[in-house]
Amino acid sequence: MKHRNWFWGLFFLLAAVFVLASPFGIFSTIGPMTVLATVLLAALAVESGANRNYFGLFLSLALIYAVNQQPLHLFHISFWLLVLAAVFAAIGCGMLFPHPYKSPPCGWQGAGGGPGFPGPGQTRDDNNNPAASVSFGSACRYLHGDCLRSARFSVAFGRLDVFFDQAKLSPDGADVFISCSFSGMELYVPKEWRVVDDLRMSGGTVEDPVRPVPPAPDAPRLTLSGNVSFGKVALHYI
Amino acid sequence: MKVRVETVDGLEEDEVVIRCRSADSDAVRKIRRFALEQSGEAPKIACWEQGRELYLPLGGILFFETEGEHVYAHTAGGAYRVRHRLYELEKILPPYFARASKSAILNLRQVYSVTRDLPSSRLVRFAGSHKEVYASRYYYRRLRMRLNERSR
Repeated sequence: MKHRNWFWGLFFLLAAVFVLASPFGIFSTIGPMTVLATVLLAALAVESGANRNYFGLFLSLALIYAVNQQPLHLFHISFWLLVLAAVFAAIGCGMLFPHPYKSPPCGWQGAGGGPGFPGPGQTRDDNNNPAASVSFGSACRYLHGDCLRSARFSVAFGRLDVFFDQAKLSPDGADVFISCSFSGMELYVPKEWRVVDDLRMSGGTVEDPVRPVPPAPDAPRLTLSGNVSFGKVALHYI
Repeated sequence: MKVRVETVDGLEEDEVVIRCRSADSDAVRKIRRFALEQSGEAPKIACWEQGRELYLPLGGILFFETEGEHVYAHTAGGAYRVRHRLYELEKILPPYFARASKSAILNLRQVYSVTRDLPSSRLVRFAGSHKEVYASRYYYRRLRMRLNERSR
């Protein structure tokens, strides 16, 4: 998937720089483990920055500073202060420069959960354009739309299970926008549907099991987009 | 309330007659429900699906859940709209149904497992279905008690 290529591409490019620079003694004062950690964190920082994931970006930079401050004789800052500063910076940037989500469907006026999302713990009643937002909790959402066009689900520090098996997709398919941070999201999808994975990941995973019988090319299409930050989205075909 | 048992010679089948001032009282409803359960007639509930009116046996319903403005009865294979509100269902459902959260009433006979998930909620799974419901902390203690009673 393209987001994984991003990360590993950057990782190997930086690793190549390290290998070339090693014979010249540039990294002689820094241990190989420190360099490896720096390369990994730098790749994560760049990927997070590209996705406007401020937590990933600032935490990676803070960790880079923490692992390198002793070997490079940088100004000493305690580890927890660095983490705290990174969290504050991420919150501040998140407020000043929110993620440019697509405009919400059907004139939905979101509140609290970001543009297009309902407030935490709330759901939207439009069966064909549902939305739900969960923070620090768990919830199940059963969709009943007879012409599902779009959906928006946001979960932070919690768990959200969404069941699509009672819904019927619009002939043009449906777009589901997901925001999953430090959380788990389980999607139960009919096994006949075609699922297009456009999710971006920053320290997160998407579990998409291989189906023994692949869906037909003209099967109803469900497109997943959005961001998974330090969380997991699992698909279950039922 | 007076209780009277009459023995009648030559009666083909036992018969329960409830003589009451109003059929809407809680006590009358409970007695009627109990008598129906004893007679083997499975209680049913009216549901709607795409303009059709269906009568589903309550024993096959896993849970009732509010979704937006509507209440749905979930079976293992489907979900059907119900006209009643949850608080109305609480009054008319048999005792093997119990409230699990503000938005759900469970069929205790269909509960397969309860998993402790986050501190604030418990995940309830049902026999022979992928469906699940979260029980809130507020209702969980009572639900746990009812589940224990079931297993005795």
